[in-house]
Amino acid sequence: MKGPMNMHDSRARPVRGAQPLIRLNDFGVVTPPVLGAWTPSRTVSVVVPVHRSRTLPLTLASLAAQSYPSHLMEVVVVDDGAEPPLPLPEIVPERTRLVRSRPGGWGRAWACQSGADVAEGEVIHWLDADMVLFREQVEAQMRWHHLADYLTVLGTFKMVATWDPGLTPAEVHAAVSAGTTEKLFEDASPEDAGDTGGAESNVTDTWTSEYIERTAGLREARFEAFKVHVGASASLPASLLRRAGGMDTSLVLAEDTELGYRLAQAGAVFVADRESRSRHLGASTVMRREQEVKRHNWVFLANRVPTFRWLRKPPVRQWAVPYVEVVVEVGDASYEQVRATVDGFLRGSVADVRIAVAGPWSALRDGRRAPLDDPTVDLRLVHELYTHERRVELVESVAESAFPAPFRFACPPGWVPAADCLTRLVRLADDNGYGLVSLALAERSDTGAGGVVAARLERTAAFGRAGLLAERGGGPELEDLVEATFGTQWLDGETWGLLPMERAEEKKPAKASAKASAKTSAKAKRRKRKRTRLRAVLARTPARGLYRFLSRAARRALTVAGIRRSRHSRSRGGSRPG
Amino acid sequence: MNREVLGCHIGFEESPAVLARLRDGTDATWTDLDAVPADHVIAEESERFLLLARTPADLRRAVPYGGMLPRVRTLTVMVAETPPWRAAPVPVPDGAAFWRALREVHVSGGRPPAWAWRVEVTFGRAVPAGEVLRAVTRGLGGTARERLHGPVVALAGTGTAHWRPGDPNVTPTPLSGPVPARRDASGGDLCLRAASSGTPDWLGEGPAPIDRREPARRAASRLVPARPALLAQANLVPGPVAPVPDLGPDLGPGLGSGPGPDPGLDPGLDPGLDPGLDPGFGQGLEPGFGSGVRGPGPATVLGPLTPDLLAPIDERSVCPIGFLPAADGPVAELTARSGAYEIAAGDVVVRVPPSGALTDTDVSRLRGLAGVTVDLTVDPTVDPTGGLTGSAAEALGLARTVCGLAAAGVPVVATPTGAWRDLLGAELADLLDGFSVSRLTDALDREQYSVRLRRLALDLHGVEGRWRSLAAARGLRVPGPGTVSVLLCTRRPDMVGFALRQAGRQRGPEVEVVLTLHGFRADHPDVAAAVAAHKGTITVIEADARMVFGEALNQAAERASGAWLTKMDDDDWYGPGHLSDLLLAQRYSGADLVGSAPEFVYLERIGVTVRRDMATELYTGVVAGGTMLLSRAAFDNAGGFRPIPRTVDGQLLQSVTAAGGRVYRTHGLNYILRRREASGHTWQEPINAFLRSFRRQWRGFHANPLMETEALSTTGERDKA
Repeated sequence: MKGPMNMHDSRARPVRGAQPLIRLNDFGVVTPPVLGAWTPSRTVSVVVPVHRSRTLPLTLASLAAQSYPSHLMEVVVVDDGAEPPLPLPEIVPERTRLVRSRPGGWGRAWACQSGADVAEGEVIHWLDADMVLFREQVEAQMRWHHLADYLTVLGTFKMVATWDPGLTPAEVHAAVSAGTTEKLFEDASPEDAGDTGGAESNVTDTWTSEYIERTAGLREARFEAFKVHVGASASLPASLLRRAGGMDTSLVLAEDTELGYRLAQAGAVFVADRESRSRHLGASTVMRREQEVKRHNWVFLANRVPTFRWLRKPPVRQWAVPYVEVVVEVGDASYEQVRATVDGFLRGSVADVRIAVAGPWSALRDGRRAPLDDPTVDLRLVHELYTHERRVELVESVAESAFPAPFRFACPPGWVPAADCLTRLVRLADDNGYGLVSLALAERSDTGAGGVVAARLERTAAFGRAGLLAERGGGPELEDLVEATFGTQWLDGETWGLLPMERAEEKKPAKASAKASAKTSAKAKRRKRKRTRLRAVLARTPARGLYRFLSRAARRALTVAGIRRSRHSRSRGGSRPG
Repeated sequence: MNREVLGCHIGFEESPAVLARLRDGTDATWTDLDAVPADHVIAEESERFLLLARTPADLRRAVPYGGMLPRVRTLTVMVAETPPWRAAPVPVPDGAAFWRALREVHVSGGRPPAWAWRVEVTFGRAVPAGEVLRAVTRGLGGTARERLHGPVVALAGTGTAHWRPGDPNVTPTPLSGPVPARRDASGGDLCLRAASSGTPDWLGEGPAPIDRREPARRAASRLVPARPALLAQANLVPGPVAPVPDLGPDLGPGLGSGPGPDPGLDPGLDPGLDPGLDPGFGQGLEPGFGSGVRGPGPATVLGPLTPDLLAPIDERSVCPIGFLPAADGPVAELTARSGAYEIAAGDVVVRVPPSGALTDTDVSRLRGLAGVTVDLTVDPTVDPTGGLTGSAAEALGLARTVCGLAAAGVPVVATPTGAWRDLLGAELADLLDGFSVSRLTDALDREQYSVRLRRLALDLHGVEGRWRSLAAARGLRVPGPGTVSVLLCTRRPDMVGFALRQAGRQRGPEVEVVLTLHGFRADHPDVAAAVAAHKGTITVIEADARMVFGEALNQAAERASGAWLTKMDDDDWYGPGHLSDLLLAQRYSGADLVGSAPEFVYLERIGVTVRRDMATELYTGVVAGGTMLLSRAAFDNAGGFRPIPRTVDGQLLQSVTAAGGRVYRTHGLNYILRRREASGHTWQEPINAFLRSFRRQWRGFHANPLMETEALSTTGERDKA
């Protein structure tokens, strides 16, 4: 940027401090300053991953002509295993570094993360090496990052089919500086276009621009905005990237969509800026081989993006990231109560759940005890019941968030969900944008809010955003922030399909054989008593204790091997499969 | 005895086809009650008499004209359409001796969609039809007795019943006076005269009458005459078996009273109706037909424009009963057409006659609308002296229509200027000015606006308010509604301050608080300070903790001196308009007990305010216990509270109903019920019940603007401010 920008920066707010409250994805409450009429202060690292690119010199030339102050901008070119190693071209921005991807991996995600890890800027700006930026591209995105700390800004770019192969970096630099970037590519002669057989123009919009148009620049995109998160020219605060867990380096394609998903869960707002313009040189892989790209990516996304419900078919199976994390705190509940609740969710219509049953499992000792008089017998029974159920996880304490699962449902033991309980609640929350739905179940005489027994559905994105806001601005409570940004609602548990255990049993549909079984129930009871006695005897035998020991040991071994991964050990860095 | 069949009708100006259908097949001589002077006498005596009214509101307007009607053996009253909330018009006899001669009462009809009624009352001898009409009207009103508005009024001239709808206590007076005597006194404390350019000088003694412009009306030509063939038979009509229109099963929908106004009238096809456009209209027709809108000539100047130039709104007909809180309906427009008015949203929903008199069925039809807009920015013609000239007669009718809409709580949207402001009154004009069509989409915003409209319009433009101001201008004082005694009974010293603040901020009526301290002493520090801080009249009673709740309330009622008793709960919030709105609801509903809906509930344990899905503005059996208001007489009739510890509210409601009373539930915007933890209260619904279905929910304590809680502490507890 030449000379100091003019000082009319009244609309540019201080970077830190109180953050604007953005409802869903409607960032209309934030008004960006006019380009060229504000004073930037935040630093940005433009991260350019390069595997092989003839167009890198053009990209860097356009970066060197940016209106954003050069002392606030560094460029990190990441060499993703180019052979021979990349040279830096002649025209580059003032502060440009060339680094090699960290050893041990490859691909765009790997390179991007390597770049982000060494970047020093407060903001990370991804840029592909086949892009030519307009003069204000970086400035346009950076103005948003001065207004709030949880925005991901998407640039607007068009695809250029053909361009003059003799185009030099100097020409690009001159055109970008002069504000005539557009003219560099529109000249591709109509004859050329005719030769390639298409009547289309040389410069075309991407599929994302239509969606952005339809959602008023993403303001009306609610929870869906992340699906147009295209990494070719997007930026976000480095802190937000860290919060979302960085790039998933196990992916070699669709990594930007997946990152978008996790950013959304962390509470990010997606802004599409029409003035952050650039040109993409050549057709993208998606354009050239659309069906193959989908065939490939949909498998990887199905595992990682649970809100793409149409990818998770058939419905009865498990995926890497569950749709709903159910939390059941054992507390002093009986084995029967815990079982009724957990089993209820296991047979529910949302199959991709993970049920965290929290209890003091480590307190269970193997020493000699009277099995039936053991004060921890209920806990032991629950433990034994679910040790081999993959969807149930026995945890000591519950993590702060269900991230990256989009929902958490906390349910007290002893309450049984109807089969469609979660489906209905999630639909209600999605239809109305709610970040928190609380279900009143019962009332106890204890005073205070604790007296109302409740279950709650939490939207990870809403609590993620509330956490971001609380961290920066302080002040109101988390739930008040959820109310302000997504909305909260209290409902009646029974209406929404959560019944106390005793009544849930009454309500079970009577089977035709119900009468017959009632007749034989007396006999069954006698048999059951006998069985219980037998079990008590067995439990005392050393063989049974050995079995318990072995099974726990086996489970530990699996965990270490990483096969039975815990929810939060996302593969990052070294553990890239394949 | 005259064996000719006589009949009269009222209110069919804008629906001549309905009238024609009702009259079809009947041989009778007809009189339009709105078209003859108040002292006109149709006949002294007749074998039978027919009275056709379009709506209950029109029937009420016929009541002051009772003196015109003959003595009859058989009276047939037909009401072409009634709103669903009206009671059946079963005559309610009074003390008159002629009821001993009653032979037969036949009431039929009441089927949707029109709820048309036919009432035939037969006596063994000729009795005054006007007094039978009163009894029928009381039946429609659902009350055993009519509440009369002071002062007693003498009426002179044509159309003056618009000023005293439903009043059987008026004295018909000749146009030039004097007011006839009634026993030894004058027939009226005030005389209202409908004046026109040809009105003679007042010859009577005493004070001059209140001259008001004769209500504008369409000419008789608009009425389709009965078929000539039938008219020709008029003299052949036999006595008791004269063919009288019958409310057959086919009549209801055929009346055109279902979904829309009378299709038989199309002002658009009849430009001659506008006297300004075609002064020669009516030439070539029979005399008496087609003189267009009648009214005084341009010479009449009304003087400065004030609200009391407008004939008042009959609050027992045009009122908030039946209000719907839904905001998703269309927005209609009110426009002047050919001297009358139309409210249309694409299709015409309601036609209002030139007098601007809305009826209860009109209002019923408007309930589905989100609102009604009207352009009040173009000043009606005003002469140099500031008066309204005859050619601008429309202005009075339009202004009265707007007042009627406001009184009914129909959200009417306008930005009145100049003369319109003077006619509507500054307060109402300011209120209209401060609202916009875009706000109609928020159901709660729309309803709170509707409540403000009702308050102002009913107070200023209702019959009671209008006559209070007319009387005051002539030095007569009309008694007010009387004092309200608030029965406040609490077991919690820490809530006394909060509760007294709710009672202390009531605006409008005189309020007396009877505070019962149930189980603690008045010298409790919390109590003493709160009582000392209370500005109004207060009586403090110390009740033993062992006394049951119902008994404590009865004890308080005994000590109360007000004409009205109301119960307030110690932990609920009350808006400052709470008591005045209850009194208002009592006035338009005529109910024995009125109360609010417990629509808004603050669930203290989870910090959530819900608005429940609850019907309001209707006759029902249940109201919020902490909002019941009833007259001293109704309370005594019901035997007071039952001496039991719990559910005394529900028991009182049941007693009032059992004693033959009616219970009315008004809007719930002045009241927020506090739902505490289960143990802190005598009985309450489980918290889940409030979350099962509701209209809206807010996180935290939320009060609508009518509650005016800004000045109040939201928790209310233990704050000694």
